[in-house]
Amino acid sequence: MGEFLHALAHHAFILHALLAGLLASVACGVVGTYVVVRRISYVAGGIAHCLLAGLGAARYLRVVHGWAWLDPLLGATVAALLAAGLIAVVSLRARQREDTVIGAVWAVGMAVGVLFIHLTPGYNEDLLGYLFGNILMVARRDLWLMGGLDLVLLVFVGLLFNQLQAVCFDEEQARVRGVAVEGLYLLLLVMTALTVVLLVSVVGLVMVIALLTLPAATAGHLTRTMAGMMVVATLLCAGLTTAGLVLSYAPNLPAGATTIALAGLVYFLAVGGSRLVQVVRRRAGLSLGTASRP
Amino acid sequence: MTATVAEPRVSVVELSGVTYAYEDGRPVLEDVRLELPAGCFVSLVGPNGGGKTTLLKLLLGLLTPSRGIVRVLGVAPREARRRVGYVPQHTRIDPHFPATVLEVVLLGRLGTGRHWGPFGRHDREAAMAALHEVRLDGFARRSFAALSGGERQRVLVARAIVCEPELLLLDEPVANLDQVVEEAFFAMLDELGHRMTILLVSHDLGFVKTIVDTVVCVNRRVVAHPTSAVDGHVISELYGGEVRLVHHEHQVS
Repeated sequence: MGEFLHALAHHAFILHALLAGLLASVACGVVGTYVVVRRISYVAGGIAHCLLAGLGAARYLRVVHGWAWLDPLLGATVAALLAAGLIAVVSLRARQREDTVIGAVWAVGMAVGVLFIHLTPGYNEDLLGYLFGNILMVARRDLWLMGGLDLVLLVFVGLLFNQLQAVCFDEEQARVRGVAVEGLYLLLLVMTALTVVLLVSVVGLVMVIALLTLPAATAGHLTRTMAGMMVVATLLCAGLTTAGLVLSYAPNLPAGATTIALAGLVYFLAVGGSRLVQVVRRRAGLSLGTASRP
Repeated sequence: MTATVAEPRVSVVELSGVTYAYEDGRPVLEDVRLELPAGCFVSLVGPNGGGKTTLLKLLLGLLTPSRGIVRVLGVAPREARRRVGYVPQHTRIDPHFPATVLEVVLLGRLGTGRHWGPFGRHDREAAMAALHEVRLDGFARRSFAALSGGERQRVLVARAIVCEPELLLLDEPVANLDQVVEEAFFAMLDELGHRMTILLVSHDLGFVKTIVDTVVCVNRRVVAHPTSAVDGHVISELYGGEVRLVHHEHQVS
């Protein structure tokens, strides 16, 4: 801990990493709650893995065709938005084949990414960072991007919270009440896509779904409303990314993997704890019932 | 085939020559003609797959008929949606959804005011009044996930009536409830029936017969009967086999 605090005081990249974790936590807590409640983690997984196609293509165009302006994260964003649009259309128009199409988008996205990586000469160190995350590489510009995205997400959610809640709770009834269900579902997937892009720098696309879902799922055991879940999930995510960074620093472990291992541990503790509370309450209820019998 | 309950009142539901078929072309409903007057309390009965839920979805404008005309409250179903309350089958609802009872009821206010931002004081007052009407005073802050099956169904009814609908549609609202809870639930509906038209899908004709005035038999085609005319013969024909009709010895109060 002391070593980490010393580094935090002397190295800007550590401060950037800490801020990146905190900024990513806002999007993670808010959008992760929707992903968990609407049960679209498989959809989010499909979008996340499609990112590799965008990352690979952007890097290929940079190296082979000299498009130096094309940031791999921009390629990832385009790929994520395309995947979100495609999955939204399939989900809304052909529900019976939804899982097959998401699986196909997931696999094809990865395959296209691998092909571009193969065709790009040189060592792809930065792509490894996107696969497994490298929070220590986050630049000041990325922080502004993350802050801006958080702001946009919070504005959308603030304005459309009730409508999004209606779509998550009962899509059919929302439609009856005149809610634009299809537009909101597309918006939800776009928010998911942008959040996934944002989280890729923190934990990498292989583990992004864990960070998107585990804090929100844990929060679901601790609170009883969606707004409460968002707040608790954001705080949990902030705590986890910070703890991941601190714990991984001295032994030189990968911060992303440390964060996800912690998130998993906290989730299983929450599940076990809530089961234990249920059992204790049931037993207390039974013994009270027995005691009251004549 | 025409099924009309003769009443000199305005029709709430009018279906004329309505046929609906899913993608495989198999008609679920065929040449349905039905006219229901305002203020009636109707039970839709029939075998599984007979078209009851499809009929409700046509009335809600969630499905469009392959042929024929559907009119609800004198207009096309989509135009009437905001004057219609709907309680879906319990299997469609996640019982662990993270929301308070008040939040769930407030969702029924969507479409009545502005399209963005939080609900206003008027919406909250309407939601509290709806909870009072379904006898759930004091439940507003409770977690929806912590309720019993019967309480959950009442919350969904509150959500459906919080927009002051003229027509209330319920799709098997008592399917998962025990007899005592079911009886109390129907007593509540009986009271609501005094100020709105109710269409209820239910398999339990014995219970329903005590409060409805019309029974609509749905099995691809539709026939409406006054409740008093529904006997073992009618039910046997509807379900296509021998059916035991059990009379419940109880009263809805």
